[in-house]
Amino acid sequence: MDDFALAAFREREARQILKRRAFYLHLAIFVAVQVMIFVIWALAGGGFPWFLFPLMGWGIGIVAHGATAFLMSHPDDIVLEREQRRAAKP
Amino acid sequence: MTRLFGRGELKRALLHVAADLGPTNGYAIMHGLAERVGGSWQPSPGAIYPALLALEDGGLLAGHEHDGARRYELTPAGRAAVAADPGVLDAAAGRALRTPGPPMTVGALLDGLIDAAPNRDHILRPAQVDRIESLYQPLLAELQDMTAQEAP
Repeated sequence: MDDFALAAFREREARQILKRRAFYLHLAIFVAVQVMIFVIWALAGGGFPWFLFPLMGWGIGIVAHGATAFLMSHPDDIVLEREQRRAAKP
Repeated sequence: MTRLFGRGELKRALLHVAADLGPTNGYAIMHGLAERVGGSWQPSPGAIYPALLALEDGGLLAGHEHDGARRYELTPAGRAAVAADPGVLDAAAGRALRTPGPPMTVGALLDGLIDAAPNRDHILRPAQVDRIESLYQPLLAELQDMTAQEAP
């Protein structure tokens, strides 16, 4: 693998790290807000569990973001991954 | 990086550059593309290398190891594709001209002057220092005027 290929792989790594960090930031905000909503619900005397609605609605968004950060690849990355597997073959 | 190329267009443009340059490595093709497109557009290996791999997989480019670097060369199918698809580079260059680049600052402009200065360690004689200073004094005065006028 030449320098140009290595530069491409480094760029891909940086892109992946950035994507994952963005997801973790989103997750942290999600957890903080959901805890706050739960506390408000509990302090308001409990009752009908309305805190589940934002939890589930936003939860769909969090799962989708997690899927794009960890499971889905940019088409360029799919080509690079295939090249990496090829290069790793003895 | 702004999206300058539509779907598949980057690969078509790379084929044209490879046709112009002859057998050469990825860096040369990338720089060749940047030169031909011009404007503020800057390609990166992360976008160009997968496109070259895809062209290789598609049989339009052939890659060979040469002195530790991979060299790319058009195949007959690649040459036919280039001949059948003129104007792709001109279209991208036209779009690049219409895409505004980052704003130029006084610092960036002066950095360009410093970068262009030949032989920085060369010792100047006092008369040469006076001469150079007399040349850049009007430039400094002009810059001060400009920034003073436009200050909020």
